[in-house]
Amino acid sequence: MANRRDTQFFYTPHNKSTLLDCSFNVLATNASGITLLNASGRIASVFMHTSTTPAAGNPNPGTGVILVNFMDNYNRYLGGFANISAAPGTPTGSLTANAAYVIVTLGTTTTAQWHTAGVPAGITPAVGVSFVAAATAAVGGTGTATLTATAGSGIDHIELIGDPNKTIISSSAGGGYVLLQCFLGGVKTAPANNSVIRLGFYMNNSAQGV
Amino acid sequence: MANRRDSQFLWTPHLKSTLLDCSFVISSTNIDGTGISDLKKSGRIAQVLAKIADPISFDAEFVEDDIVLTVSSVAGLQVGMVIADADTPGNFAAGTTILSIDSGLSEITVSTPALGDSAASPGDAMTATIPAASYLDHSNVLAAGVIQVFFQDNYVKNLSGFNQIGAALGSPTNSFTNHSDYVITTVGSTTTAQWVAAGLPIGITPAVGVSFVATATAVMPGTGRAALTATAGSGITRIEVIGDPSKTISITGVNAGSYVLLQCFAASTKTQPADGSLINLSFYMNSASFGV
Repeated sequence: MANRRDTQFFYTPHNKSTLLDCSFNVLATNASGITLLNASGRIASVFMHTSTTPAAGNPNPGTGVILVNFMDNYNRYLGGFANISAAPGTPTGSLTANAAYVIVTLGTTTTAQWHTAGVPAGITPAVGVSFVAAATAAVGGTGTATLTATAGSGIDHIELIGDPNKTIISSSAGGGYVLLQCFLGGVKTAPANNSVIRLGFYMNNSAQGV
Repeated sequence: MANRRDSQFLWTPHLKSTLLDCSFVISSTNIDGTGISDLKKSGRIAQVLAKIADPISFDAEFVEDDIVLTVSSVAGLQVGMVIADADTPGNFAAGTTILSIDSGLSEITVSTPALGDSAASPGDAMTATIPAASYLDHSNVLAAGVIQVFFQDNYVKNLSGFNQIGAALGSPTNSFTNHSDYVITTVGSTTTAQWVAAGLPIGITPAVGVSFVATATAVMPGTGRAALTATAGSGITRIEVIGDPSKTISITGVNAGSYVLLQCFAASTKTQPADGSLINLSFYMNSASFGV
């Protein structure tokens, strides 16, 4: 990995500022409303609206609403950010030169064929790999890739609901939570299924200091 | 700088979380073929590519062995562009470039002599193209709105990221409207005192890119100019990631060439940011293959 001896810390004015994170795929047909939750950033669970019987703990929030439950409690919500990946379009084995694709299925397509198609040397072909097509041609084999959906994720921003400072400290045994909602053009909107949402939460984890 | 004794660190659950960053200006007509300019890559960014402007079309009259062509217009033409004859491709050797432009005479000088004669007036249909930049084995062939960011190193996981977009600028002027916000485009002969009188706060050095709010409706002396931001700003409303960036941030065997592809949107439409838009990107990475 990055063979750098970065000795620089990230300084903040806060006594114990902490950056939490998670990523997940939107999937309204799943009982939790999402799938593929990466919760290693101290996230207990994430729930969104589901079209099926909700999973235990999922209050089945309204369209476009995201409930993020934390493993722990925090003192203050300092800020946050979101990073959104576009939903995939229709898989195809026929690529157009210079367009950006994402691998959907590896199939029988060999690594050499993926590299010919445009995956750079050194990048291991895998589902989710993005690349710029090198030529207008068939990939070869049964592997497929997709352009991103024309409208991308279908949302343009994510907002907080209420004051998160009031919900990140739980009086119960569990951790706190934050509610968020997605918008497109000023209208609450559900992200397209299979959009990937990565959230960062900048917290103060100390009741002392600032 | 901030004279604070901040001794608090930012804690994360990850073993070696790293925040990378860059900023650049969308410049589709930059002759270097990157589609951007003013790249600040100290945040461990190797290169950034964005869409290059479409070729410029014009007509040209010439005879065999000419290196000076009479053209219908020099608008958009730049020294270094590669020309091609759309009517008779064999009239110029591949890779022939523009060496100089005389807008007064509507003439361009090219790097190799014509190999044949053009048609009679208005001449042959020609194109002039900005040569695409390359980074490693990547040539810049990106579509409108797509941005490719290359890192100096490999990483294990893309944890998240964020961006900030600065509006493109409108037409420079020295005639300001009270309470309107401007960005300096040319410092010129205008003195600091004159900039301050126009609205620049005391203590801020006048420089290209400085923003300020005009304090009066007046014409500022000197040759300094500032511009309102473009009415539509950058022309985009968000930037999304293409695919799973965790799959392209590590290159096997080498420590260069890992990348993330992004695309820009205006509402629900993939859109190229306006030339002159400033884009700041931050990438929150995990740089350790063990731990979480």
